[in-house]
Amino acid sequence: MHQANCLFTFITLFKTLNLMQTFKLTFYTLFFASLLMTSCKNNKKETLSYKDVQIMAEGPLFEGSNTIQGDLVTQLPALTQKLKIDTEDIVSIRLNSVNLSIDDTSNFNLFSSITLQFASEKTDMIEVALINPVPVDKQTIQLTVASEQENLLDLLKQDKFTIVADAILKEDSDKNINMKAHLDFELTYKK
Amino acid sequence: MHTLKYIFLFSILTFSSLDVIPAIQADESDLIVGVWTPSDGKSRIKIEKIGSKYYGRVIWLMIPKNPTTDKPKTDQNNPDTSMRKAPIKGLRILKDFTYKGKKEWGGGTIYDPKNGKTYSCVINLKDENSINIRGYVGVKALGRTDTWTKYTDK
Repeated sequence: MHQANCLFTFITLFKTLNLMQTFKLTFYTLFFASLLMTSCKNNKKETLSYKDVQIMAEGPLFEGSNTIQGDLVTQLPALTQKLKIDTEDIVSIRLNSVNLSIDDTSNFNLFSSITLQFASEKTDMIEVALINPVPVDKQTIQLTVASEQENLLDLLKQDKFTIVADAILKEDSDKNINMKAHLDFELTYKK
Repeated sequence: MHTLKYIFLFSILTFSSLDVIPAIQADESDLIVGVWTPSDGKSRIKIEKIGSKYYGRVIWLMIPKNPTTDKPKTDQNNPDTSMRKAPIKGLRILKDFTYKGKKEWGGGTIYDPKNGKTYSCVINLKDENSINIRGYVGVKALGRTDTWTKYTDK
């Protein structure tokens, strides 16, 4: 009788362990399958361009540090709609290139350097690009983009932000300064 | 006659609460706008308003050139090496301040080009010609205060 009891207990224990193992196996299979499905969502890239963004400073302007600025209405909602993604699917945004062209004068000879920043009501100001020295006799200049670009995604989630160009002028100028900025952002998103 | 008096008093109170008080507040929040000289007198900082926030940039340096290279001083200690060619003259060292009331501006940062570090910062208006700038790490108690005086072109 005792032997029969022992055998019954052993069988029950074996069955329970077996059942647990089956559960474990099912759990791990499902876990790895979901992991595989998630990893199958590849990162894709898209360029977000802003052309001819007007920035300006009213004259008279004096030799030394001056600020040229303008607002940019973001187009992120339109882009996410076009890509059929949510803003949560965006992994990162990077500024890839900045070009400035000047309207009123023939070239950038009045400038010795320009530092470009972005600012908005809800995000911190960030330095994004720089040119020093400014090459002579150029109508369009390309700025060096900052390696460290934090919170650009938060910035572009705003309805608008301000482009702030701090320029060092070589001499006084009575005229207004009008520039056009061309910005290319690279957007990385999951799909 | 009494009714007219009350109407007159009511309109004064209404208009003062709607228009005059915000105007006073707006003026008060802009009291830091202008050019300021730190206590060492070696530079001048212009504080200006962009949107609803306040920012300050270097507009004058007593010694604008690097004595060894004889070229304009640049932001050589910037942690982002790609931005080290930015000139100190024109550099924004005060960023993102908002008016908190009671002649205090906070929520911003101050950048020290001497070591390339950025600190939390609070600005208090001492009187119309001087401000206290306190840079700190973490809590306000762990910091240093410098008094800047308003620069007037005499």
